[in-house]
Amino acid sequence: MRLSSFCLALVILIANFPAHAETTPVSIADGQVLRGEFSQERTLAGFKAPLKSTGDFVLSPSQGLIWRTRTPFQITTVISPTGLVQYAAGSEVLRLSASRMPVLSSFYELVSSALSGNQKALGDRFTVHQTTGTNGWRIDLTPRDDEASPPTFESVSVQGARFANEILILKPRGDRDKVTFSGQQLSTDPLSKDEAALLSGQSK
Amino acid sequence: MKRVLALVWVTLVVTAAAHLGYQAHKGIGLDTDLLALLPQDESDPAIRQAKAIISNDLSRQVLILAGHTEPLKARKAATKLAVGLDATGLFEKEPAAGTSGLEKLAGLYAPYRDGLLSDADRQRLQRGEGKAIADRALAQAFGLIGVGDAKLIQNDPFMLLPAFLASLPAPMPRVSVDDGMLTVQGDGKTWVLITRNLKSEAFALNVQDRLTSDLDKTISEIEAVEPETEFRRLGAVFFAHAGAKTGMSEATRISGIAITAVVLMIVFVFRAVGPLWQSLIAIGIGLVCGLSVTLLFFDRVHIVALIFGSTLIGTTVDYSLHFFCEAFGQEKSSSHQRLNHVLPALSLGALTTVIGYSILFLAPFPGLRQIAVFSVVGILASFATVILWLPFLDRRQSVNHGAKYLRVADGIWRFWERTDLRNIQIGILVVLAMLGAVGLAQISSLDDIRRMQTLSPVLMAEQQKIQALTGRAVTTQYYLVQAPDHEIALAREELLLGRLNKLQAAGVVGAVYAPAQFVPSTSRQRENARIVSEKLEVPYLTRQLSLLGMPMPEKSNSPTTQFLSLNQVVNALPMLRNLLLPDRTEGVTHVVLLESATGIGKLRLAVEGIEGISFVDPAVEITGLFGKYRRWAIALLAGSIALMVIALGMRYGFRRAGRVMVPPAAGVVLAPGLLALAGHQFSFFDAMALILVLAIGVDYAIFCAETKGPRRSQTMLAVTLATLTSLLSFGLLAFSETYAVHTFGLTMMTGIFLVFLLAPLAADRLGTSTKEAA
Repeated sequence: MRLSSFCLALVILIANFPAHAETTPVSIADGQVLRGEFSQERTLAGFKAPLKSTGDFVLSPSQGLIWRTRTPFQITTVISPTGLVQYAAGSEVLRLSASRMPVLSSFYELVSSALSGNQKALGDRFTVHQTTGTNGWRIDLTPRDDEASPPTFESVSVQGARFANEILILKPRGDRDKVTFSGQQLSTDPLSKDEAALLSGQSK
Repeated sequence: MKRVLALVWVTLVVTAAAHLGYQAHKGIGLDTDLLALLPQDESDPAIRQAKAIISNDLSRQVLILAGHTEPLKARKAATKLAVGLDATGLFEKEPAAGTSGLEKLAGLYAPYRDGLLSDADRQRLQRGEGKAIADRALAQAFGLIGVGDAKLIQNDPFMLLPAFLASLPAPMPRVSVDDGMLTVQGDGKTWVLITRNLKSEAFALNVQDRLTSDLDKTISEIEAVEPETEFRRLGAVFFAHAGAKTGMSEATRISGIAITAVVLMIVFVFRAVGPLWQSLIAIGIGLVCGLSVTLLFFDRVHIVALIFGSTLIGTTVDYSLHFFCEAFGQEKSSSHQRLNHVLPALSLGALTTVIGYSILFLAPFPGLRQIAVFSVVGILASFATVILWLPFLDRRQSVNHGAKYLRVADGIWRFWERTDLRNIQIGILVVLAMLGAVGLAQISSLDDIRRMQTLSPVLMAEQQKIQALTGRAVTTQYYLVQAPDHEIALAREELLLGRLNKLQAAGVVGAVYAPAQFVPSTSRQRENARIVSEKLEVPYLTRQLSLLGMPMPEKSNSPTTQFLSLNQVVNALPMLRNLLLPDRTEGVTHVVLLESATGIGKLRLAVEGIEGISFVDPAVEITGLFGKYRRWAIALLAGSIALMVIALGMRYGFRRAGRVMVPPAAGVVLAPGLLALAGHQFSFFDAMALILVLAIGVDYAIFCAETKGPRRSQTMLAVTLATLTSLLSFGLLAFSETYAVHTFGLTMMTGIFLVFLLAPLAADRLGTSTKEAA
């Protein structure tokens, strides 16, 4: 669940925005691609300093997400309908297929329904608390009690104006992740050849 | 004198009946497994014991899938199902398969992580690719996914332990753990698996019944609430249950029809009720005594023995028929006189039949011995009843009707007697002999048990669907590893695994499950620790720690690494538990299971040079056994014929004894030949049938040989009726769903029919009737 919940929250909230009186709601249509930069700060209990990384991302609703960490070193994570693949310094280090992790394919269905405006799916898994203010909006999610497994995170809160700007994930045992976005752009340009190859599951 | 004997017999019968009643009250133990008919393996007792435990373990596994288009509903159904199953009390407690289970496992393994490396990681380090491992750990720490437990990285900055745990074999590759439950997608539904192990053997009838009924009840309760939930089941216990139900209903059906046929025939021919109920008494006592003594000796009875036993009806009725047919004809006689007429024939017939069945004792098959005991006791008991009781019970003086029957029955005898038809007679014999010879020349044998066991088609279909869904492809072949202690066993397995890895890459075998994958040998762990230190920590540890922002760990005060042993993890891993057999005084035994094995020859070769490991292929072994005992049975047949000739020789002289044996011997030799012409393959069960053809056929020949001229119509009538009853009872077997029983019945029918046709040949010089005092 840890993977799906984080990614789910992340992707949905980048892509699907609450209506706001002062902001044009923006959602991604087919054929559009969202790009931007991120800065991630991961605080782990017991570690002296948080782990920081920065990079950029590419999100295409039907094909998937490419998360390219550039500092402190290169890691590329690709989530697509076939599963999850990670590359470090150019060579593949991790591959999880969606069939081995069924949570990935159900997550994917959730994402597509969310992107087409189906808020209900979000509400099934989380308690949603929404506030709006002058600068933008904020959504707090807490996972619903699922009998089978303990929660993998305690809460997710997202702040944004036109696009989501910051995501804060609180995990049990005092760990937390803070992701800040900048330079988000929606474009209709097609994916580059490399990006398309990554999303289709072929190794770089 | 006769009265005394009759009374003694009454006592014996009552004792036998009482014993049977007692056994029935206790609950008669019924075996349905075809393999229980087979003898013990002659090899090493340790191997025998290991194989028994393995097949027992496999037979206790139960797997049920609950499926629904909505995953949450599938999970609810599975949870309810699990609760229902556990409530039966028939299953062992199952540790939770879930993420919590995984964390617990990681906790168990963690203290020994220094010596644990996945195969892939070990190979990477040996090739000098340590940096890839370091980067992988960093990717997980920094990357999008994140790390579940910070403590994990602190103690294991290269994250070798998670990689090792991920490399542990999983028995159902398409199945994954989703929120604590084993789940797989397929056929448009989400399926959740429940696996359990039965506490006791799967072949105890009461366990099968209780499990099936409780399971069906729970399923219908779930379906009442959610009708679209689908269930699939897999387990030896279900097959055994279906087999037992079919077998028992067959046995009842066959006995029922056989008895009805016999009743109708007797009533029709004799037009009196007397012969009917008296015959039934003789038959019934035969069955009761047979079953009673069998249970006395064996404690349990096999379903196949029961089915054969039910055909005793066709055999034991021969004696009463011969006795009753003597009453046909014009003269008045008393029953005692009639008995005297047939006593020599009956005695000799019973003797030779008992010899025929007793031969089965020599075969080292426990199942055959049961059949032998059942039949021998049954025959003797019927015989005793006929000669001791029936004369007192049969009050008739003579039977006046039936001249028609006598004439018809006499027909066959007359045919063989007529000298003017000699050419046709010879012609028939020659044609039969030629057909038989042609058939025998092209005869082929069938020993493969998989062709012989008919398993419930419904359950087979479910099994295939389950295997397709889960990717479960466990084969029946495995390796048995024996060693003086666990460390040596694990080291031997590691040698084998090294070779099997190559075979896996070549596609010869799929997954392999060996204890050494879960717990490497101590020497391997030592080597792993050394490689990690040399090729990973020395070059990369500083970089790793600085990037992660972790301080250098203080040198731990324990210089010696702790090494993992089987005891520490075996309770948490049911898969591992199944691979370890109980320790013996001489050493330990492990099992290595295989999946999707295609190149059996290569797998067999893989153990060459490794001491203490043997490749076991149960199906091939059983097929070999069936072949061996098919040849045994044919030898027994020859021995039987020889013994009978000796017995008959003492009465008739050897020349005539030879001629008396011609009809039964011809039946035995020609039946397989003729069936082969029809495409039938000769199996062990055909051989068993031939032994009985001989035993029964010799009765007919003896009846014909013993009869004096004027009485021969009565004798032929008896032989005809006996043949009809035998054909009916064995003919019914040919309709059985069990291949073994079906083929037995087919050969019996053919053999008996041939003997009947040729029976008059056994008689004294045809054409000259010896006039002796009647």
